[in-house]
Amino acid sequence: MLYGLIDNELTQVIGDANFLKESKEATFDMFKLFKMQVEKLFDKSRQEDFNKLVKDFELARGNLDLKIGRAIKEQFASVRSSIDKFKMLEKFKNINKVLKDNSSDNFTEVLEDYTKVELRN
Amino acid sequence: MCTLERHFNAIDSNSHKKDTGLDSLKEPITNLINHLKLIWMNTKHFHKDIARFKNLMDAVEKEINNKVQKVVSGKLRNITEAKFELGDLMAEVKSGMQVAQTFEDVYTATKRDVKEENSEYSWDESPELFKETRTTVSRLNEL
Repeated sequence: MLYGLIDNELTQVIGDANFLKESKEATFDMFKLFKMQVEKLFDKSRQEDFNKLVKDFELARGNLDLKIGRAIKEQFASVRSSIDKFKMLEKFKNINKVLKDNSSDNFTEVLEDYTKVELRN
Repeated sequence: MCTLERHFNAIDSNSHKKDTGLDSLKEPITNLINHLKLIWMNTKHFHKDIARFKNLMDAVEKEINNKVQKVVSGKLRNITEAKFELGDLMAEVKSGMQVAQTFEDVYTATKRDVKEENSEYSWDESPELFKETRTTVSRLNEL
């Protein structure tokens, strides 16, 4: 999950300032792993250390993706109108694959509802 | 060897310029290898002592890798929560990867040209050449 993404797309759909702040901090912490252990990055003799660093990063990223995915689902559930749900999903277009997968089932359903409403109008 | 000096200087000075970044190293690396080819084809400087050529390429590789690693490590060291420009950091990681790869690609292509044009004397490198480059590229790729 990228910093710019949290600033832009995610801010549009999740209004919880504390959650956004927490996500930003978690994103920074992921990169802080590399910042603090920078001497391990290019040392040929420390392949294991490097692998561990990448593994820790992936773990942190996975945790953050789960948290954000959950928050988006909660936010999605709290939106009642199909038009608002459609607009919300529209804003997710550029969010990474994990979130796209999370939303794809919802998207089909909402798109059907939205089309019905639009056709009725 | 004096004719190569400006290429060494270009590699050295471009990597220190804050506004140009690692991308600016690609051109001097390509120019250096092309110039080495000219020297190889038109003089016997390296033919007499191939170890000179190998040592030079080892030194060039070391220099390029040091530059790339230093810039990327510096970017990572300098990130703070208040000034965390991920796009900027990732762009430098990508450039670093391309610069290191450029060195191997241009060397390999030029070596092939030299062989086609003058099969009597072909480029030969130490078995260690590109090991460091490949480690750098692989780790930047992971990043």
